[in-house]
Amino acid sequence: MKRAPIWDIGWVFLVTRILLIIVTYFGYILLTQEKYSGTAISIPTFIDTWQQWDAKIYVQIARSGYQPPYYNLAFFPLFPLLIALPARLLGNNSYFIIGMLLSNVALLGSLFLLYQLAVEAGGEQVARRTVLYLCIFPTAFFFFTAYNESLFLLLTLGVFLSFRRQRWWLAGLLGMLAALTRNTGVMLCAPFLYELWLARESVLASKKRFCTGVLPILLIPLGTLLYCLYNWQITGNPLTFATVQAHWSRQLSAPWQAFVQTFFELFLHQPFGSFNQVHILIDITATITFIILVILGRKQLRTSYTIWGALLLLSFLISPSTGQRDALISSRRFVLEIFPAFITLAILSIKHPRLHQTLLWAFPALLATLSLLFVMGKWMV
Amino acid sequence: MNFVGRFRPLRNLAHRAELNEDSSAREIYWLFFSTRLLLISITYIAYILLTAPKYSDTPVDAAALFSSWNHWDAANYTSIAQYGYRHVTDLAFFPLLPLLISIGAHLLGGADWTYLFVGWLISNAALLGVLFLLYYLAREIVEKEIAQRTLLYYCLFPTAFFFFAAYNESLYLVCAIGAFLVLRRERWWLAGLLGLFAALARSAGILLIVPYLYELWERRTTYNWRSAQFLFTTLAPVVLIPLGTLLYALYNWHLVGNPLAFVAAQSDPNWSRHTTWPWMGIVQAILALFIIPQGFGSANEAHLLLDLTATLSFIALIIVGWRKLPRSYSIWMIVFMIYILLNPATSKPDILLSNQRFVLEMFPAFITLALLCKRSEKWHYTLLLLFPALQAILSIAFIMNRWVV
Repeated sequence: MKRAPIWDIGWVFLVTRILLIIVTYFGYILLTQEKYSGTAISIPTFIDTWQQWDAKIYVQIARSGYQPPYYNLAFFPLFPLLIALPARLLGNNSYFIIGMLLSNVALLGSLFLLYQLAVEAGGEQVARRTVLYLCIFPTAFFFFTAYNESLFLLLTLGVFLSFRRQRWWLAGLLGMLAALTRNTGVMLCAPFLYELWLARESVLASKKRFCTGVLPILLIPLGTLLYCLYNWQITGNPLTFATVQAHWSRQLSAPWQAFVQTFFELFLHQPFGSFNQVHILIDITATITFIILVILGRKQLRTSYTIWGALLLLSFLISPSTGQRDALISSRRFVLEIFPAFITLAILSIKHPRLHQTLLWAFPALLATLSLLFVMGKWMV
Repeated sequence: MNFVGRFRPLRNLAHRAELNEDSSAREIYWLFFSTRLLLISITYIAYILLTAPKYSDTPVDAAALFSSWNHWDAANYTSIAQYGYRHVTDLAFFPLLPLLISIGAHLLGGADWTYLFVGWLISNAALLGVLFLLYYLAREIVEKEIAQRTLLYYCLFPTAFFFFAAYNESLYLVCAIGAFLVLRRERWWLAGLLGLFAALARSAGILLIVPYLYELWERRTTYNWRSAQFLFTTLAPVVLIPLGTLLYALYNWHLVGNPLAFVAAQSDPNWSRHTTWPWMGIVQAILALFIIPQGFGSANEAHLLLDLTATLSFIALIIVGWRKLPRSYSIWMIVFMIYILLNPATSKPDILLSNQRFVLEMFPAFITLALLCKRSEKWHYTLLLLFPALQAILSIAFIMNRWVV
């Protein structure tokens, strides 16, 4: 097994970080400062521009824990916990910056693991492109700020790599951490079962093998269970984290309902160029593209990857935000977690060179645009 | 490629360099339309999300969205087209683009929106022409892949969005690149004519005299310098180029009584450009950035950084390109660079004002850039990521009517 090219991956990581810093510097200055103004902007101000939306909530949780009315229990605890541990020592101002560091370090780790998985799926060139696409994807800026997507991605990739190496206990442990990072983590049980099924001959060979293979799967729901217990302890209801979703106006519905609502909004209700129209278009484009990518990838990739991709898609399709105009809200961010789709995209781009050539500059331009909107505190979640 | 079909010399050129293969033309169309589409998407997303109230269902003001590209000089050109030169300072803007806009707008009925629309259309159509001509030109000196990358960098360059707005850069370039192409083909009258248009499009157009004379000098042994035929068919057309400037000077005279009003307009407090030594602008910009305490993250710092980086990078590209490009290209770029450096905005905080845009006109430097990046794929990829990201940011600043000129 060849080792991942450290310099190449490090370079992609570094260049895209520099890109986001340049975007912040020029974008923020050009949009907020007056012509010929000599007023200085301090570095903390620039850093704070990245503290928006969920990043604020995670930092808030890390700083003072879950507070009544406990709406923020919808945000799973591992990421804020990891922020809080070092930040308690480093002082009050360090929370956000540690969150950002954590998120970026997790991204760097994810890139290495993703490279390994993609090499096995499609060879070296596919792996390079997968890593590149993940970094320049239009919403990849969420990996730059204190969101938990990159941590979750790191853990799930670790789980899948452990499957490949048949390290079941490690897979279970990482799965538990993933379940503590985001509510969707518990679904890792499904690819776990499938991989066990594939390895059934060796798993069923002896009693000891059976135990080391099957028992670790229990760790994954244990992660969610731990969080339930914590919920029970502070609110008296083990499922508060699920019930508060209603506050964020998400509710369970049939998977097509989100599409019905979206198409109704898009074609009947929204006038041209409304705020909601733009957001609906962004989210529906992301959703449909990734559905297609998961479907196209089913023949190219391991079935467990496809199962995982499909489950992630399903998870946000069945909990749409029906109370809002944009039912598929945040889909643009959730799709970042569907790593198999990025491998599929890379495989497709080898077959269609023009696709690669166009994505290579269209993605960074859109990334810059959406990042700037985020930095300006505009609705971008 | 209809516009090529109309000019016999250009069509011959296309044949010679085997450029009429469908794939090259298709690549160029693809690049052109996909980058236009990108700028439209950026406008749609950024303009609406930066201006619309949160969670609103109210439609965007379509007129405002449409005219979000009509800022700064674009607004000046369209207003000159619509109302003529009304202030002395307007004379700093050369007449070809406003003239064409005015003609087109009258054909469309002359409503306010037609001026915007025609200006936008001319600028973009001219860009398409520029891409084809630049491709032919690059193919004469470099291989296909490098020529394609030249175009790619050209469309993605951080300030290339000026080709999308009603600025006259692309109109000027289509004339200038055309002139270079036919010069190399010894089509002297056509070169002179294109030079005339270039000189009517931008003040820098007159500088085309230099490559004209240089190309002539390079062929000094092939011509009989004393024959009347030489004088008439080869040397005489050079007069057309300054004639363009002269025509505009006459118009200035007729309008305000001073044939050099367009020069005087430059030093007006509005533009505040003054003639000085060519290194002064750079020295002052460096001083302003590093020596004189400049608040970190100030608007002035950001603009100085952009303009100084553009200036220094292109000086470096001229130097590196000296051995790679035909001599007349390098000499023209040197003259052009000195020309823009001779007139910095010394009394403004952003001394090298607009150099980020002016460097777009130094098209041969983009061939050098493509040659350089051929050596290292990492550089190619770095540019491919950073250029479009910066272009998106600067475009958004431009459509939001922030100071980007």
